[in-house]
Amino acid sequence: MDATADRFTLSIPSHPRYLCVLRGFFGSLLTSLGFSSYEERRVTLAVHEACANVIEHGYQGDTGQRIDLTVLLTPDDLAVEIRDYGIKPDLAAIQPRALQDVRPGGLGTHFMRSIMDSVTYDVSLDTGTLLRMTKRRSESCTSP
Amino acid sequence: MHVAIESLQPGITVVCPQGTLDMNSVPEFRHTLEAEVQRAERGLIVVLAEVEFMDSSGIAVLIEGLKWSRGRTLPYLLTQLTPAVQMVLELARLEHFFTIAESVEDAVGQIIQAS
Repeated sequence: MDATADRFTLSIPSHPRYLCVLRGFFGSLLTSLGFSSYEERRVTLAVHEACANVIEHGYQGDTGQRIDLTVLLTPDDLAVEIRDYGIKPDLAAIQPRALQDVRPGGLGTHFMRSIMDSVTYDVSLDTGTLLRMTKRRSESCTSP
Repeated sequence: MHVAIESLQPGITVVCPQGTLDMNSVPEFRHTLEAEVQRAERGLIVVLAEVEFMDSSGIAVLIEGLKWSRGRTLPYLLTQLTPAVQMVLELARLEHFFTIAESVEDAVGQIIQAS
């Protein structure tokens, strides 16, 4: 972890009704950092989709669990770490599907990979998963 | 979320979800949309002007609506997409998958023409 980074932490219950709180936080943060409204919407969507996947797949819809988020800001990058304590994903199964296969479901991972510069999963922890996504700030901001 | 439903012409149903279309609200909207697709006689229009946020589950239910409509050979059009909705359609590369009308009046006209 970068000791010089500004750091934010947020912990939310694994209930879909609280995803709006998460979006509000990221919307405010990204706007204050000078992200364009377009990039603010995109990055907020990527984080929302990641947490929605945790609720649906990691916690199998159990709304009584916890999702811990850490945001790290360096001059160059925005990094978002999403920690859950649920079922580890099968990394082979969460590859984005072919978009020409038009059907409900499976788009969240595609959105995350399309929007963010990197998306990595650490499944080596004793319990759960640490998802790390990064976005270069210089390409997202309308002002320094 | 609230869903406004009206009929501007006999047999043409206009469905207008308001607020957020995400995994929290989609189950209720899915139920409403399916019922309205089954009830509509000439066509169904989904007005998205008041959707402030939509996620992948929101677009999934719009795809389901289209498939239910195709099962009834019923015209199914989207209109008045907000930037949030447009962004998700583009990310999913589905902007050409749906029939998107310029306005509700345009959508009604297309359905009448197809009848």
